Amino acid sequence: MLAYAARRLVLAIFTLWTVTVLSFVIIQLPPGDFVDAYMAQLSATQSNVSEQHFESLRRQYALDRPMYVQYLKWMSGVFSGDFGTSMMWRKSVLDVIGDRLAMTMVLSLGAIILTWAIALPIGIYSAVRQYSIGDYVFTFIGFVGLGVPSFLLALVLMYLGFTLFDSDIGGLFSPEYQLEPWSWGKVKDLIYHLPLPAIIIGLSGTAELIRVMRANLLDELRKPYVITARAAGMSERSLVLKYPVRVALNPFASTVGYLLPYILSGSVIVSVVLGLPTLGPLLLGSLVAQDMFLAGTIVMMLGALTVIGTFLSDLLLMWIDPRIRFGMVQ
Amino acid sequence: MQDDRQPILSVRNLKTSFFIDEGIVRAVDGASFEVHLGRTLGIVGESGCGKSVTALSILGIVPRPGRIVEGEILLRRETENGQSQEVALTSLGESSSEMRAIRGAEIALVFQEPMTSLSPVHTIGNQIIGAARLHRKLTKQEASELAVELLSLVGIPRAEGAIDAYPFQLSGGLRQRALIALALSCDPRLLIADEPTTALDVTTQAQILDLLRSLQEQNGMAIMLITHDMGVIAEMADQVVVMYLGRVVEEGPVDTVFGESKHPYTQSLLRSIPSIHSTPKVQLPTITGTIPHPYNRPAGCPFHPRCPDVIPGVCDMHEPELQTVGDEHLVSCFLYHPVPEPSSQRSEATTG
Repeated sequence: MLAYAARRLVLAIFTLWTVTVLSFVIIQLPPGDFVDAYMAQLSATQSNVSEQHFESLRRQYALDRPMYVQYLKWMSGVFSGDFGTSMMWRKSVLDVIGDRLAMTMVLSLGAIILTWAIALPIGIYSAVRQYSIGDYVFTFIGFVGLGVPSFLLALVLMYLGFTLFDSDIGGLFSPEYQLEPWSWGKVKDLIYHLPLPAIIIGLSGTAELIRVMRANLLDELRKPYVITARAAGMSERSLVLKYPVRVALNPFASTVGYLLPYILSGSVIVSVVLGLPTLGPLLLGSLVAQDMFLAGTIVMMLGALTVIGTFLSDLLLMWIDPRIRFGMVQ
Repeated sequence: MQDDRQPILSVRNLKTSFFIDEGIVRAVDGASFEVHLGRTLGIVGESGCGKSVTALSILGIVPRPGRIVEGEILLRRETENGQSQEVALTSLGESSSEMRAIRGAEIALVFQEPMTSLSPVHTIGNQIIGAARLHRKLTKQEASELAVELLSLVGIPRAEGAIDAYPFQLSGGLRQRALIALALSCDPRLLIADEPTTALDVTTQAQILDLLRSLQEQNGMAIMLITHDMGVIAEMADQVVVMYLGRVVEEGPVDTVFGESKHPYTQSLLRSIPSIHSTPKVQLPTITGTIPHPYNRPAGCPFHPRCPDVIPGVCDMHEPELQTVGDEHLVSCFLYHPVPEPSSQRSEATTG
C-alpha cells in the first residue's frame, strides 16, 4: 500500500513536470511573443509608444533570452511560491488568479454533484425499466442534452430570464456583492446564483452519464448473481440497489479524477457567455495574448488537479472494489 | 413426517414461453413431473431444451419477455395439525410477498456458474447473512454464526475466515460450496441445483455431488438436479426426466431409464457416454444434427429430424404424448403407442 502510494507520488511529480514543460513550449510556439501581440494591440489603438519601451519590456520579462532560460527562471520562481508576473495584467499571477480558482472549484463541484444527483437515479430507472415509456422519454431528453451546445442553452436561458423575469442570470453574484469582501450575505448570494450555471455546465455530462449508467447496469442486471439474489427471495428493489447498482457504480469512481479539468475546459465558452468569474475565460484571454506565465500557471494548476484527482479516484476505487484492493481483476 | 408417497412439488403441464419480436419461443412446452422429499429428481437434456427455464418457472423468476402461459406448480406444505396443504405457485404473483417468502426459504436454487453467481464486490459472509436474515429472525451476530456453521457444513476449510473472503479469492469448487451454503441458509425443503458441477473439474465435481448427497441424508430435503450429464444423473438421481425441446420425452426410475430406455433420444444420449468397455480410439456415437432453435420447432415429434427410428408419415405429422410403458415408466414415442386417428389429431398437428 505504502509502496503503491510512493510509486504514484513519483509518477505524479514526473507527470506534473512534463505538463509544465509542454505547456510552456506550446504556448510559445505561435510566432512572436507577448510584446509583439501587445505592440499590435497598441498600434491598432494608435497609441504612440517608443521602441525603447518595448525593448525594456522584453528585457524585464526575459523574452530576449532563449526559451530554456525563461523556463528555468520561471520554474525557480515557482519553487519559492512565485508564479511570475502576468504581462497582460501587470500583476503577480497569483493575484490575477486569486478567487477565481476557488470559484472554479465551487462551480465545478456544484456541476458534478448536480450531474450525479440527476443522472444516477435516471440511469438506474432507465435500465431497470428498459424500453418503458419513461426510458424512451429520458433517452430523448438525454440525446437533446448531448446535442444542444451548452453555450446556446446559456444564451437562451439568459434571454428568457431577461425578457420574462427581467433579471440578469449571468455571473455568480448580484451586482451589489460583486466587489464586496466575503461575508455571510455574499455566500448566500453565491448559493442563490450557483444552480443555474451548474446545470448548464453539467448538462451534457448529465446526458452522457445517464447513458453510461444505463448501459453499465443493463450489463450487470443480466449477471447470474442477480438471479441468485432473486432466487433467495430478495425484493426486486433492494436486490437491484444492493448488488448490480453497486457493481455498476465502480467505473464512476475512476472518472472522478478528471471530471474537474474536463468540466473546466468544457465550460470556457459558457463561462464567457455567462460572465462567470472562473479560470476558463482567464485562460482563454492569456492564450490569445501569449501571456505565458499566466497561461502556464493555469495549465499547471489544471495538471496538478488532474493528477491529484486521479490519485484520489484510484484510492476511492481501491476502497470500493475489493477486486482491485486485492490486486486481482476478474 | 410427511407422507413419502405425496410429492412436495408437482409440476403439471407447465408451459413457459418467451415472446420475442421474431415470434413465440416455447422454452418449456408441457412438462410434468413430481419431486419427493429425501429423493433426487434428475432432469437431463441438451442445452436449450428448457431445463433451466423449468427451474426459473418453479421459482417464479422467469426473465422478461418470458412468462408461464399454462400449467400448475403445486407446493405441498405441512400445516400445524399435521395435515398437508397445497399451494399453487403459479397463482401467486411473481413479486408477491407470499412468493418471495417461498423463494430461498422453501425452495432454493444453486445456479450453474460458480464464477459469476455471487456478487464480486460483497464478501461471502455478507451474502449468506443477507439471505438468512431475509427469511429468519436473526440478529447480525446470530446470522454470522450461522454463516460460519453453514460454510463448515459444506466443507469450506477455516470457515471463520472464509466469511470475510470475496468470491474471487476462492477456487471454483469452494465457490460452488459457498453457493450451496447460501442456498441452505434458510433450510429449504427443495433444492434446485442447475448444472451445479458443469464448470468444475472432474474431481471437484465428484466432491460436490458427494456433498449434495450427504446434505440430503442429513436434512431429508428434496433435490431437483438439472444437468446434461448422464453420468451425474446415474450417480445422483432416483427419478429421471429426459427433456427435449421443452418437452418430457421419457420419465421413470433411474434404473429403468438407464436399463430399459425406450425413447430413441434417451438411447442416443446413453450411447454417447464413453464407457471403459468401449473399443479405444473409436469415435463415440453422436446424435446427428443439432438441436433446432425452439422457434423453428419441427412439426410432429420434435425429435423426428434427428431420430434414427423415425417413422415417415407419422413422426413428422403427429405429436406423440407421454404414455405409460411400464411401472412408473413413461415415454412419448410412436414406437410404443399407436398413432392416433387422423381426425382427432388435426388440431394438434398444425402447431410448430
